[in-house]
Amino acid sequence: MFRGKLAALETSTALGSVALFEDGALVLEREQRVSNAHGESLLPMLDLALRDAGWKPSDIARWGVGIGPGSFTGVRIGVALAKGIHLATGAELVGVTSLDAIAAAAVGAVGAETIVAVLAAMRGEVFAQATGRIARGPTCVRIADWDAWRASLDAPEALVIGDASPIAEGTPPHARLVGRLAMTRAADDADALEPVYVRPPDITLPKSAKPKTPP
Amino acid sequence: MLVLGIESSCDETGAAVVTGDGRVLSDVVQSQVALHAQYGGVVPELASRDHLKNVGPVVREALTRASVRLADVDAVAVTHRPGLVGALLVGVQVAKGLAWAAGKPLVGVDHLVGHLFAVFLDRGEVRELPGFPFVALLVSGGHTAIYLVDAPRADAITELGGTRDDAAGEAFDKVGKLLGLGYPGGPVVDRLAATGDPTRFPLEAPMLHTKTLEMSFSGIKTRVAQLVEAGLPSGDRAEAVADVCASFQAAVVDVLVKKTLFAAEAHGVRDVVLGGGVAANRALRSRLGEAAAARGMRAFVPPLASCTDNAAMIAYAGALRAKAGERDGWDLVATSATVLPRVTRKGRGDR
Repeated sequence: MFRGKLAALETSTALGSVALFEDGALVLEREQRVSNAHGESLLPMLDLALRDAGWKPSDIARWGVGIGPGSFTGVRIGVALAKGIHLATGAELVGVTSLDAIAAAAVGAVGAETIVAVLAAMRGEVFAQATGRIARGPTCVRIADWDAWRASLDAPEALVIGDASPIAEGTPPHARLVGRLAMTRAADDADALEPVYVRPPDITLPKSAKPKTPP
Repeated sequence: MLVLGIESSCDETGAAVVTGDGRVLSDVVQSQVALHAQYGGVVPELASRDHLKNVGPVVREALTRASVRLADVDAVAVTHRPGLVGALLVGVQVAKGLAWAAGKPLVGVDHLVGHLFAVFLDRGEVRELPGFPFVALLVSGGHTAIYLVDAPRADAITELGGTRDDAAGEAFDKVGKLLGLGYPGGPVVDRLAATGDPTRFPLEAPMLHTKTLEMSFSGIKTRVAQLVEAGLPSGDRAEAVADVCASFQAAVVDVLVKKTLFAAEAHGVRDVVLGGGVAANRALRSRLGEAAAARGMRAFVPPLASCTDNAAMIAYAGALRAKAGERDGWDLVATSATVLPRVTRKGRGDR
C-alpha cells in the first residue's frame, strides 16, 4: 500500500475529476462536467485543488491517472498532463482503466462474485469488462447484442455497474476510485504508459484512394 | 534565457531547447511519416496516439542533448494552433503539466508564427539575417501564403495573400500520388523533376497573371490527373512521369516566386524569407534566390531543419513572447485556426 501524497485524475467521460489522498485517506476531491473534453478545465481544477489542500505539485510522489477506455480525446488529455507532470517532478505514474475504477465502486457489494463494469462507448456500443469469478474483457459490445454477451458470461449472479444507459447508470469512473486503486498497484513505466483504447481508430480512406466511377 | 519548445501539430513530435537569441541547443524530431504512408495522408487519430507514445522520450532527449535540466529552463513554449486539434492537445497538455509542476511560465505559440521566425534560428552555421520589415513565403503541406513581417511579434504579421484551395505541398503530394510515386510524393517529384523536360507537357499555375497575391493549386493538380487519365505514353513511361514532374514543379515554383517578389516590390521591401516544408524543394530554393538577386533583393532560405516542422522554431517564437513578458494560463487550449487574420477566402468565385 502506497503511503504519502497521491493525486488522481479521471477524464474518460464528460465528468472530469481530481482527488487528493494522503497516507491512503481522501483529502479532497473536485469534479466538473464539461461538453468539450477537459483540455481547458482539467489543469485549472487541479491547480485549485492543490491550493485548497495547501500542497505543491512537487509534494506529490505518485499520480493515478485514468487510461480509458472512454473518450479518446478525454483520456489523452489526462494522460498527457500526467506525463508532463512526471517529466517535471519524476513522480510515479499508475494507469488505472475506467472499467477497473467502476468495478472498484462495487467492492464489498454483498453476494457479487462477478462484477461487470460498463461504460457508454457511443455509436450504440458499450465498453464492458467482467472481473471476479468470471473474467472477460475489456471489450466493446453492441447494445443490441448485450443480452447475448451477458448470457455468455454464464454468471447470472453478476452485479452490473457503470454508466451506459440503458444497461446501467449512475456510476461513471471517478478520480476517487482511480486513486484508491493507484495506491495498491506498482508504478508503471511513465514514458510507455498508453491509454487503453479497446476500439481501433476509425480510418476513412481518402476519396482519391477509392476507385473512381466515370460520370 | 532558455526555452523548452514542444511541437505536435501534425505528424512530427518535436521538442527543442533554444536560447533567447535563437541558438539551438537541441532539436529532436520524431517523424510519423512511415505510420501514415499506407493511408496516403495523415490519419488524425493515429497521429494523436503516436504523439502520446513518443512525447515523453522526445522531451527527455531534447533536455539531455542540450545538457540542460528543466530547472534551468525559463519558459515552456508549445504549439497550440493551427493544426490537428487531437494532435495539438497532446503537446499542449504535456507542456502544461511540465510548466505547472516545474513552476515555469507557459507560452502558447502559433505554428505559422514559428515558421515565419525560423530564419532567426542559429544552428551554428555562418548566416546573414533579414532585416525588418521582410516579406515571407510560407509554403508547406497545410499552408501557402505570403506575409509582410514588420517586427518580431505575431501582431506585426500581415497576410498579403494565400492559396484559395490546396496548399502547394498538398498539391505536390497529390501529384506524387497520381503518378504512383507513393506518400509523401513531394520529395520524389522534386527528384524526378530535376531530370525531366518541363516543356513536353506544358502546365501553368492558375492565377499566375492576376494582379492579386492569391494563388490556387487545385486546378493544376486536376490537369495532371487529366494527363494521367488520358494515359501517359507507355513506351517511355518513366521519362514521361519525370517530364510531368518537371512541368508541374516549374509551374508551381514560377507562381510562388513571382507572387513573393511582386509582394516585396509592392511593399518596398528588400528582404524575402522562405519557410515551411516545401522550402525543402531544391528548385524553389534556387529559383527564389536567383530571381531575388536579379531584382536587387536578398532571399533568405533557412537550413532544411528550420523549414520543416520542428520544435526549435516554436521555442524561439515562445522566447520572443516570454521576453515581452507574455504568458498563458493553465486553461490554454488547442485550436485548429491560426491567430493570423486571413485575407484570402477559400473557394471559388468573385472577390
